[in-house]
Amino acid sequence: MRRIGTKRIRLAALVGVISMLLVSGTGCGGHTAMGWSSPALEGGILYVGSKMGKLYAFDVETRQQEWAFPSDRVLAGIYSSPAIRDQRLFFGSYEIATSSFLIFQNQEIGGRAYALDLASGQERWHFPSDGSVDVEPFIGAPAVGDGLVYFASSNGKLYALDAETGASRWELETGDKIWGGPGLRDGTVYVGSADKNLYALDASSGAQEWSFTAGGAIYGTPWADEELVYFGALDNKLYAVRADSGEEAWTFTTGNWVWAAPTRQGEVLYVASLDHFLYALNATDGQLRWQAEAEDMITASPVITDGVVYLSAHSAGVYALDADTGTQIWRYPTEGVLLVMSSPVVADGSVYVNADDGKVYVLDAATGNLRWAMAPGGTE
Amino acid sequence: MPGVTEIWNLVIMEPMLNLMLLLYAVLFNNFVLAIIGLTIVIRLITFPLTQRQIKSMKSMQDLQPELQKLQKKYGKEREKLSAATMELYKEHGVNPMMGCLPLVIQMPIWIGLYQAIYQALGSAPEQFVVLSQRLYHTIPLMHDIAARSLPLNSHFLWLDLGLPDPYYVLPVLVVAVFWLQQKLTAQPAADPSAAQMNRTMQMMMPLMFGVITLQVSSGLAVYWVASGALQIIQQGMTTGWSDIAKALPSGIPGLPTREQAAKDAKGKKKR
Repeated sequence: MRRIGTKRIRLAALVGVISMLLVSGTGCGGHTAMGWSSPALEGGILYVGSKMGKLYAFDVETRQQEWAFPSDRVLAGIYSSPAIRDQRLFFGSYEIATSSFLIFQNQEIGGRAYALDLASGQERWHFPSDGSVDVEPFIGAPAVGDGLVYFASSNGKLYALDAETGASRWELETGDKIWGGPGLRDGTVYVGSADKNLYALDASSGAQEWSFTAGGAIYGTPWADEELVYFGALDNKLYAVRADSGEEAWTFTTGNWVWAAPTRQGEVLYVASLDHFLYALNATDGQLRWQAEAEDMITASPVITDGVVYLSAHSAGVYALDADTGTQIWRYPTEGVLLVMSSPVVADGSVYVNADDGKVYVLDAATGNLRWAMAPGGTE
Repeated sequence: MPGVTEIWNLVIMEPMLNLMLLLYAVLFNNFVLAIIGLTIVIRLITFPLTQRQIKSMKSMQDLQPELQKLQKKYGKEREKLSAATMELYKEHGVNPMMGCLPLVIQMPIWIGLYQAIYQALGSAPEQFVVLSQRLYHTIPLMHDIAARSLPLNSHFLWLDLGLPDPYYVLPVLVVAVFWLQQKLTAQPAADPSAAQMNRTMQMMMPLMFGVITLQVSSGLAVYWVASGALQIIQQGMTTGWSDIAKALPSGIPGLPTREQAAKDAKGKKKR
């Protein structure tokens, strides 16, 4: 009998171990969200959404924390980069409420749009203010206009909220999720949806001006100037459509999804693709000027300052390239892995990088040398 | 030199993911149909192996009277009983390990499929963005399908296939299908301790997979139910439906009752 008992225990243990390996080793066992928001720098204070589920404000000179939000709990992940206007900071959250009973676990996934006081980090308002509106996570950065702030949600809706109170002024419902942020230019809001459409709306009333259907889902934030609106799609193309009519002006095909928002600097449009390349195109006709290859996919928009393109390339860290030729100036780290999925911020000769390891890296903009690094809310 | 993860992704996960995407586009943009289609493809690929397993198990079940005779003959002489049992298997060309082999082979398929479902649905942004690196962009057909189909519709009836079943219907189905499978594939054991172990396995395995189903995406549970059902159908077509009817607690519409099955079996023996 003893022999049977031992065998049964061993067998049960074996089956248990295999089951646990299957559950944990395959990455399942509950929904997770890491977050990848780009930092924002204003008045010497860096505002950064941490992987720890809080938005931190800290002085880049003293490296002292000014505040953390929320103070009493953590958010699941912060993807939305903060937008700052008139001493207010706006960002959207990704929140997971988990309730469990014994082995039974239930997860409610949602999101909130927040407005904080820039100096104190105190919450001014959040949307939705009660449970009457079912809102899914906010991934893209909000856009701030005159008295209104525009938030796009994973539930496929674009909300125009009163910047003072957070009350909803108007909303647009699209056919699928929206993970990019809205783009705002000359009184028009542009937003792309996974339903493959780019929508142009009157910023104050929400009236639709036009829509353009791409060949793939649109996950990125559009970039608009007086004449053209640029955006990428999951059919591997970068589209340029006319801002006044929504007619297609030209397209440029890459080797993989165009996820990040394109950036225009002068006559050059910089387009990052998940095929690991950064493309520099003529902004007016889409002709290729140069292309530069990174060692991993480029998920975030490049930042162009003083003739240098700064970009992050997933596990390959951060690159600085000559904006005219695409020649690499430096890369950090020179070897090894640093996972970065958001755009850096460049100011006063420093490059601020919010990395996936929970740390903010501050690099010398000219050389790429590490000046300092710290984990907001943690230790250096 | 590529690491184990790269080789795994290249050989197991990426082909499954792209095939699932192809099936999704062909099968009316329905992810459940795509999973069932993929299950059928996997079962067709593993058909020769599972067929051998079923036949081997049937042979072992047919040897049950002989095994009981050996047990009576040798009683508590365990070593002699084991040797005689192995000799009996050898005589009839039966390999007792064939019962476990398909399960072992299916383990990487389950893991690969789970990863494929997890990646294809990409409910969190960082999962979805990595999907771009797993698709066959260089094949024009696959590029067109991906551009047209993504993001996949993960909703089917009450289910979000990327998340566990909130109403526990699939865990119950998984337990039922696994229990029936275990019952059908149970091998006769001459040794009482081995027989006890078999009985424990028959209860433990379905319950364990039921518990796992509470945590994993319901897409994987759909695969388990579909795969188990196909296995039962294959077994019924290979060895006859009477064994299945016997294993069931009571009659199921369309299948003979336990009593009818017993009568049929007696009738066959007489003939």
